[in-house]
This record gives sequence, structure tokens and C-alpha cells, in this order.
Amino acid sequence: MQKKSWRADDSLKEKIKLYSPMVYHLAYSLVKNRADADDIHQEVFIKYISKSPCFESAEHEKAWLIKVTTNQCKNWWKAAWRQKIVSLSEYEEEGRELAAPQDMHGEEAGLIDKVKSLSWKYRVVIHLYYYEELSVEEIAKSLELKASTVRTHLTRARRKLSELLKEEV
Amino acid sequence: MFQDEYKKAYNKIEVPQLNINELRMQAEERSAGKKVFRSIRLIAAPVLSLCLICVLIVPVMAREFPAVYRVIQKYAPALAANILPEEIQSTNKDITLQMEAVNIKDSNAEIILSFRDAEGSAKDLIKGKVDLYDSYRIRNYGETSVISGCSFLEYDPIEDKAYFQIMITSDKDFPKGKVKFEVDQLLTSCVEEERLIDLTELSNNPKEKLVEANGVGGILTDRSRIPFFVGSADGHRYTVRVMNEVALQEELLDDLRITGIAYDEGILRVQQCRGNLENADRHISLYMKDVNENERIPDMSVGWKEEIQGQEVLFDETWFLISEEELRQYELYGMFYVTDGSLKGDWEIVLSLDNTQK
Repeated sequence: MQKKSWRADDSLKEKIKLYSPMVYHLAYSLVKNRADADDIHQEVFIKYISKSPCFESAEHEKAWLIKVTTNQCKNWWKAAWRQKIVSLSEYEEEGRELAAPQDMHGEEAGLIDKVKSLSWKYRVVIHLYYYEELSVEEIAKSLELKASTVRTHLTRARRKLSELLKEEV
Repeated sequence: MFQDEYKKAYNKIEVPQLNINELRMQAEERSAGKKVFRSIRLIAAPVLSLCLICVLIVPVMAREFPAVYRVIQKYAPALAANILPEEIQSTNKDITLQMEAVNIKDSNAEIILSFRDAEGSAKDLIKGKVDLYDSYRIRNYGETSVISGCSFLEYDPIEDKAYFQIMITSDKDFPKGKVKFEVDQLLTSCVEEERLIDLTELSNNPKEKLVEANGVGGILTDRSRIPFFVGSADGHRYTVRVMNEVALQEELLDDLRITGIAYDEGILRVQQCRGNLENADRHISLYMKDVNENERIPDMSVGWKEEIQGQEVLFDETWFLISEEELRQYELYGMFYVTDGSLKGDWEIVLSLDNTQK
């Protein structure tokens, strides 16, 4: 089947405007701070331009961007200097860096902090489910996981968040 | 509601504007695949190599041999600190080992560690009890002599972490020192299941063979009460009559099963095959229970090895000395333990046990 390139019809500017918030917010939910989210945000669209993939539909395009964003975030975490040696002082700083942006206060900052305190696999499904409002099947397809795995992660994430927030999620 | 609050919080985060021209330029540079080559001068190469060897070997020796480290620490403490810096977290093969807490009191140190799935990993490797399978080492770089051990504490499903405890006892109060904890294999899947073992069709004349037992154990010390011991050449290894009811086939390599059960000469005999244990640990703990829940444990057991397709397979035969009348009052149970999900890796953390700072 001949695949149609959606980007042949729409300008790059329109695409970036459309998907930028999704990519940036997802990156921010998965990495430590805004500076790192900025880098990943840029990197994702550089790949989008340089690889020029052809998409069958808007959903396909969105799933591709989610996959690339999560992969970039994974690579960020896997960088050797972060992984192998973490000195005590850096470890203490990490706790501060995970905090919400300086311009956010009160409950909203606290909520972001609590979600960021979850492990990676829980953060990503929480964000895609509650913020991007993807279905379990769409999340499974984007992350190349089984739907049952996504459901398990969501269940455990909600349980953990309930403990942290002391309310129904 | 959580979803509304979460969306509201993230909608407040301003998304930075991207410069499309800059993005295009960077994309073009990547596509062109420019590389920068640097030449190394021939005359500097041997000198550089020698320096590198010195710089690399000394730290490696100090890390591998605590005695070397202590010498360096005595005469060049600043260098020693760089050779063996404190590392409280280690990630390998999508699993992170992390120091959680240290408590030092007088000459005892207690360290709590955890294993969890690494950040950025989509795999769910840590999901229950973890077995270190005796693959860990604890190296002491301090001045005192110590004895130490490590044990599994619990798996926390909320934190998604498996916790371990290291206990270190020194011959005197801890002054200063470092401890390195290394693990190179994990068994990440530990399953325990109690099963009732059927005694309704007991053989009383099983086929037998002679084997060299490599282990004997149990509460009974008088081997003369067990008629299956044939003899011993050196007082350490015994020739034993064991049941021979199953063929040695490939399916036994990765299996844990009962391979023979009989009542013979006043003894209940239960044989188990534990499979090849290179990357797993399997065993059945046998016990009997009567209607009042009174338990009886085995009187004696022996273990031996067989070879199947070039691989070593372990067998155990367990004996209960029990009359026929008593046997009718009991049921036989086995707690089946299967620990596999072997993952080889390289995890190590270095902790400073400075009692003056705790």
C-alpha cells in the first residue's frame, strides 16, 4: 500500500505548532527539569525533520512522536555519567531538581512533584492516559508494550499515587 | 479530580518556541554525517600509552585488592578517595542497585539496599522476591577486620523495590572505612507453592540403582538405621541405594518434580529431581502433616548428581522413618521453590562507613 506523507501536504511549522505541547509536556514528565526537557523537545523535532518518515494517518504520526520522545528520554537516563557514579552531593541535588518549575506554586507544584516521584514506567502511562487521554491500546502501541502490561502499570501507578495523594485517582 | 488537576498543572507549563531554521540546519548537519579526525603523533604515542597504563592499573589494583587500597589510603588519602569514590547507586542491565540507609552502632553496621527497575526501562524485571544466588561479594577497605552477610528483607509492591540487608560486624568500633558491595547475578523470579503429594499409590518394591551421594543431611545422625547406605570408601562420600523410576531425559534439565515415591523397609522414600542449577535454584522442602496439623520433617536425605546431555542435574532422596500405621495418619506436602529469571550483570556500590559522621 502506498503510504502518503502527511508532511508533503502540511507545512512543518503547522506540525511543530500542533505537536510541540505534547512532546514537551511528555518530555518534562519523564526527565528531571525544564532544561533537559528543552533539549529533548528540540532533539525530537530534529529527528522528525532529518528522518522524514511517511505516516499513514495523524494517529500514526502522533504515535511516532510519542515513541521518539520516550526513547530520547530513555537515552537521557542511560547516559553513562548519570548512571554509573552518583556522588552523595549530586544525589541530594537530584531531589531538588525533580521539583516543579519555580513559577508554579502550591498544589499544582506538589502534584507534579508527586507524579515525578513515581518510577519511569508509571510516570509515562499516567501522563499519556490522564493528560494526552490516550486509550490503553493506544498507549500500548506507542510504547510497544502489551495492553495487559499497560493496564498493570496504570493500576500500580494509581495505587501508589493514592498513597501519595490520599485521594481517589 | 486528579485528571483535571493534573491537566491544569501541565497546561500552565509554557512550551518553548522552536526556531525552525535552526532545527533544519542541525538536521542537515546530521544527515551530511560530518566527522572530525584527529591524528596522534607517533613519538607521543608510547609515552601516552605508558602513562595510561600507570593511571589505569593502580586504581584497578586498589579497587580489586583492599590491601593495596589501605597502603594508598595511608600515604595518599586524597588519591585513595579518588580511586574509590563513594557510589551509592549502580545501574546495569535495566536494574538499579541503590543504598537506602546506613546505621552504625559501636562495632555493628547495618546497610539497607534496594534493587528496582532502572529509570527509563520499560521492562518489569523486579516484581517480587529477588535472590542474589550467592553471587555477591562484600569487600572491606577499612582498617578493622569484619564479618558480614547479606539477606533478603522484602519486596515492596508500592515502591516496586526489593530490599536487602547487609550486616557487618567489626572486631572493634568502626573508625573510618569503605565497603564495596558487588553482585554479578540475580534471580528475579522467585515462586513458592505448597502442594499435596499423593500417597495413594505407593510402590513397596521400587527399582533401584547405586549412586555416590555428594551430600547427606537430616535430623537423624545414626546412618545404620537407614538400610540404603551401602558403604563408604573414605568416610565422606557414601554409596547409596536410590530409586530408579525415571529415565534421564532432557525434560528434567529445567524441571522440579517428584521422580519416585515408595514405602519400603519401614521408610517412606521420596525422590526429587532439581534440574540443572547453573542459572536457577529449585528444591522441594518435604514435610508431613496429620489431621491435627502436627508436622514431621524428614529424618535424612541424600543428594547426588547425574549428567543429562552434558549438563549436571541434581537429585535428592528424602527418607521418613515411619510405621505403616502412622503413615496412614499423615499427608505428605512439598513446598516447591523455583527461583529463576537469571540475569547476569555488574552492580557495585561503595559506601563510606565513617562512624564519626553518622
